[in-house]
Amino acid sequence: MNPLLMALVLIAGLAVFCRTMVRKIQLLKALGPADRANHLKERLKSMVILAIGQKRLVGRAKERSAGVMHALIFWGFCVLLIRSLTLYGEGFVEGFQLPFLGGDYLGGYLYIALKDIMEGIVLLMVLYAIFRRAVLKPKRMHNTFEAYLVLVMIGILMVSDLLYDGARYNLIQLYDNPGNIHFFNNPQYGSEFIWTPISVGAAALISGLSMEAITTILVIMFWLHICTQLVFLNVLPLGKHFHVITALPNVFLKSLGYPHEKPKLLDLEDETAWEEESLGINHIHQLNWKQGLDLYTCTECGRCKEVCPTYTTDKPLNLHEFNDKLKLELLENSDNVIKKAKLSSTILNSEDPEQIEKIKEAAAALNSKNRLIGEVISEETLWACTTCRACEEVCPVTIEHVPRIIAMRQGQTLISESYPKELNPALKGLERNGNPWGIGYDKRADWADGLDVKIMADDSDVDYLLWVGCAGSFDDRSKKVTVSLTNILKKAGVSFAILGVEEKCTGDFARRVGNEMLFQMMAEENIATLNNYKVKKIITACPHCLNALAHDYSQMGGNYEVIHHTDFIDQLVREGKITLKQSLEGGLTYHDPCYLGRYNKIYEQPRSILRSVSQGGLKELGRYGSESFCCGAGGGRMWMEETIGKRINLERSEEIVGLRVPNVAVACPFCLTMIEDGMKELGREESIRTMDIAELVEKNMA
Amino acid sequence: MAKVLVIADIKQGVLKSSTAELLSKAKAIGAETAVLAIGNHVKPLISELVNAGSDTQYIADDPGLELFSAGPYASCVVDAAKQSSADLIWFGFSESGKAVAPRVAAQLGAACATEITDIAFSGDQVQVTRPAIANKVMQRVNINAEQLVAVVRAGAFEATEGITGTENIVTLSAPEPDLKAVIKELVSDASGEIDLADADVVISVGRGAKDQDGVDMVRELANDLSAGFGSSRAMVDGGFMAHNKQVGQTGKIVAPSLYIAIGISGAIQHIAGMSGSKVILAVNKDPEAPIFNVADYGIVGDLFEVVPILREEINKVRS
Amino acid sequence: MKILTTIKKVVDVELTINVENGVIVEEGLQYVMNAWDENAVEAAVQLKENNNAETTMVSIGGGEDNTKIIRRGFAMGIENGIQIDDPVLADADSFVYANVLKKVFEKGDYDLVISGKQAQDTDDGQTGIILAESLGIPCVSNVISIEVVDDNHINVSRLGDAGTEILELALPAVVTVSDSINEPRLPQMRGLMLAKKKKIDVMDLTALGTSHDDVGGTAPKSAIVEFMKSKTRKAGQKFEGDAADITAKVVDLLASEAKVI
Repeated sequence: MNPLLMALVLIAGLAVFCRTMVRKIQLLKALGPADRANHLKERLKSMVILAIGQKRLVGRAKERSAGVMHALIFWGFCVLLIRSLTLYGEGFVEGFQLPFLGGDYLGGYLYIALKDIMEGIVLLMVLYAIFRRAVLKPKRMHNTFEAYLVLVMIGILMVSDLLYDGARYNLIQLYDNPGNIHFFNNPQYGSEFIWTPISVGAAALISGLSMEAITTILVIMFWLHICTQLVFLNVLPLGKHFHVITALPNVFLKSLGYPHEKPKLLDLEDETAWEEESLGINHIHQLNWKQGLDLYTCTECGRCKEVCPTYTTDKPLNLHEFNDKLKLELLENSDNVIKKAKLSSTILNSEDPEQIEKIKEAAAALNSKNRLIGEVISEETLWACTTCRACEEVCPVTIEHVPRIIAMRQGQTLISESYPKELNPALKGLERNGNPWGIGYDKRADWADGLDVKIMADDSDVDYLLWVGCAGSFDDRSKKVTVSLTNILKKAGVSFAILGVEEKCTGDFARRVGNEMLFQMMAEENIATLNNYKVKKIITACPHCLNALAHDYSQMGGNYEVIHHTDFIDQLVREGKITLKQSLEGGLTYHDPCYLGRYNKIYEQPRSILRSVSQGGLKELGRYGSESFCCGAGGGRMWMEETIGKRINLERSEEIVGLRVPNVAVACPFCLTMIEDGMKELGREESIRTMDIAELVEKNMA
Repeated sequence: MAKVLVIADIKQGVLKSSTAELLSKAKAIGAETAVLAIGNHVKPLISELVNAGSDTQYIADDPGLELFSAGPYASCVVDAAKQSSADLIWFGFSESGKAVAPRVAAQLGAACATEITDIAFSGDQVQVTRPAIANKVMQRVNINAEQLVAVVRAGAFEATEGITGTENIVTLSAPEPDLKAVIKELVSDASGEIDLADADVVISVGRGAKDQDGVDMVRELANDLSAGFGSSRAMVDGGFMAHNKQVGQTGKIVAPSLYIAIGISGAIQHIAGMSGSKVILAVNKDPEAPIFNVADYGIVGDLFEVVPILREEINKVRS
Repeated sequence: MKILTTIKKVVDVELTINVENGVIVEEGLQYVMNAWDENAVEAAVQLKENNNAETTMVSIGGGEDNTKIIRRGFAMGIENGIQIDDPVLADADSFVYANVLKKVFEKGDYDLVISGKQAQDTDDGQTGIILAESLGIPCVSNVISIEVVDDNHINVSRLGDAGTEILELALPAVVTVSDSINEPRLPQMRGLMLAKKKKIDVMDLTALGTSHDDVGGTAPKSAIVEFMKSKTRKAGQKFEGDAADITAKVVDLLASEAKVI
């Protein structure tokens, strides 16, 4: 077309874009370190499935149509990227072709056919998207000018390209190609226009115009497309559409194995960290670069809000707003953050301690001033979270919401010393007697009185340690579950022992409320006890204990194989060590515990057991499996009152009642308490029995 | 013969039952008994004080003694103690008693024992029994001083029927007011209701009653029995019952003849407040409720069903 | 204003206390700061935070557990710590404690003493009051609020028998506090780290300027001769079934067997 103009436009567009991107990347580099450059093959795989495959959109039954719509737009873009390169080339050299995609190759024809169809589909999807936003207005969506602008721009891109090709077609077919426009015309494959029906259709729309008019349209559409594309490229980094660029890397860099970054094991003796207030996240410059990338990548789709038990019950935890607020704070401070990083790196070059001090001071002066909690995010928002991970499970771009909440709680507890004081009795109980109820530690094994259960102190030569947990030891209702479980283990001839009074709370809830000090204290003591008895394998009925022992303790040198009791019982059944009778009448449903399902991916084993005992089968709740609805006790919330909105356990209990089955099975002592309480409150405790799987197995065992 | 001075427990012009209980015990151990009444307009209580079993009545009656003040009250006690040459000075279990007893002991150079449940004599040796470590253990303590000032646990001693005393009034001069601890105001919690600490029967309501209607229904039972009406912490926290109605470790400790717990699960803190009761009856829907571990009689049932039947049955028995 | 808080190491009352041969079994027991003294410490720290006050705590006793509670006091915000460590005081009663505290008070010339109203091990509730009496200064017990009026006066509220009593005290004075006065803060990491570095002023009776005889330790007014485990109530009869039937039955038992109605 016009090489000079093309060059200018390209250089201008790309220059601006590069500058923006360089700043964005500099900002990330200036943030804290994160260990994600590993397991490249596995990362590639998850990126292909989640990002390229759009699994969480297309694979999720809820709103699948919207998911498919977005997937098609995305895939369309991927296909059309190649087209764009051709067009840029066309701006410099007439008839520019990419290798193997030119008019002499089948590949070229196949590509243009694909491109043609995709443009049509993308255009339709864009129209559908606008319709959804403007007319259907799904609640989770956040309608902004930017959202519509981007959709319109994509529409323009499709329309302009189609009309460009349409104009070409008209000039070639109707006016005998006066300008000698290049087009595919291979004797084997035919004219390109046989392969591009949609462009031909677009041509028909403007076929009535004069040759001059069509030529003008050709030129205008070409430049419109190029310029819109470059403008679009530069609009992307400015708002939620940055995800177009950052989503693939963000998914590539997601946490593997454990579903999100584990809470950081803080060095509480680090004087510098205390001085700089860098224990936990107190100021925006304390995020690590992956967390920064998360902030860039939020698409504001609102799926997190929809599944969040807290938001659903009218509490002030709006997750994409949370992300947005942090992002704005980060961007506002970006200059200082980048300067600070540059300054701090000069320390390595200096040998003079005085100069180092000066640099440190200057760097500290560049710290972002705002305290995140209080000035950017409200306290109520921070403490409302139950750490259930429902948000992370549905996020299409794998943002890790929970770790930053926990890190901020760490900061609040340690640096600001500002946390919900109603936690004090539970924290004090942990400190003094190793359990949140503060009951004398000497009574921890009272549940086992007269039951012939081995204690490690008497005989530690056993295969398994049964970790009872605080609820299982002290809570009257949960003690029954412990007894049921020990009966099952004995029946199966399993060699096990308990720690008895030597067992202390794992410290899970202390960690989730940011109290690293107490968590580390409990962990240290427990690890010493466990290692003293050379414990290797642990069975536990509490998913929170499971999670702490299996995943948190490894940070402190405690490495154990931890098995949930439902998993273990399932194994026992498979090995024929116990036999289940299908004698439970009336039907059954199962409430997946967050820390068992979403944290530790155990969904099938409980179900397998339940199907074996229930005559009436297993009926699933609407929100089940990986989308199970939290009982409300996680994240330390068991020890806090819910004063805002509806009680989470009530919401879940209502859902269970609505299923009209007489039995609900649980696999966690917190869930047991919360759901049973919910049933009592709804007056249903007679008609719906809440039981732990261990209890159901004991009752229905041969 | 020992000489016992009992400090009368008077609230709003009413003589509390502890006075008679302490005097009965004094008579039972064969002591010479004296009683001290401090307050304003206490003279009308004299005949009651005599009938409760006192051989001498020390009266400190003065407008300045209307409101409790530890200093002046202690002066009155010391005065009466010296005049009566008492070996044993006993207070009933009250905040006033607990505040004054140590002062009196310090001034007299006497020994001091709080919350005694029993007193024994072997020859000259006086020995008291009292609880310690949050009621988990009992201590037997030898008193090695010439005099003992003691605060007696609620309900530890029993009033004897048909006891008599002699009228022998000694008027004490009004003490100086305490200029260093000036009373500015008394925010009274008297509500015309029966005092929990004193009642022979106490009915307490818990979370099982659910709301104000439930509470009011249980209150009817308390009214029937002219009983003290108390509460578990849950109902106080829920705003259904006043703070001073809470029976429990951090509330009121009661030891009535009959304690009826309606809809109370039996948390340890609540039990600590009423385990001294003679007989405990519990009504609760949950057969596993911990309250049944301390109740002499337990009814497993819905309190909304049971309470009306209880009222009916009790009315039958009483008529 | 100089505030002195008295703190005591007591056995953790959540534990089961066993008695053998009239003596408490020590094995398995752990010791903590008396709960009411935590309230006292909290009250002192709050006064310091809101007024111009200097806070000191004193503990009588030796050993690691005692040091632990003093460090806890530091972590909660008390500035100075005194430990009277003298083995002769092992069996001290309230009078002896009060006499020792009197010496500490006189040495430091304090304006206000804040104590817990009783200790969880003895449940005596006497020490603070005896201390005030022996010093000839005013005392109010079972206090639920403290307010500074000026350098020489404070207002306190107390839970009395007839209701809440509000008094104005002339300083110096002793105040013993109820647990209703406040929620003691939990020492946080920063406080605990600072606490480790603080120096405790350890003295025996001689260093304090007194002697066992002087504080009345050689002729105590009372002596514990024996401990016994308290009788716990046992479960009685529990009735389930038709409400009308079982209620009638129970009322009958209350009348005929228990004879309470």
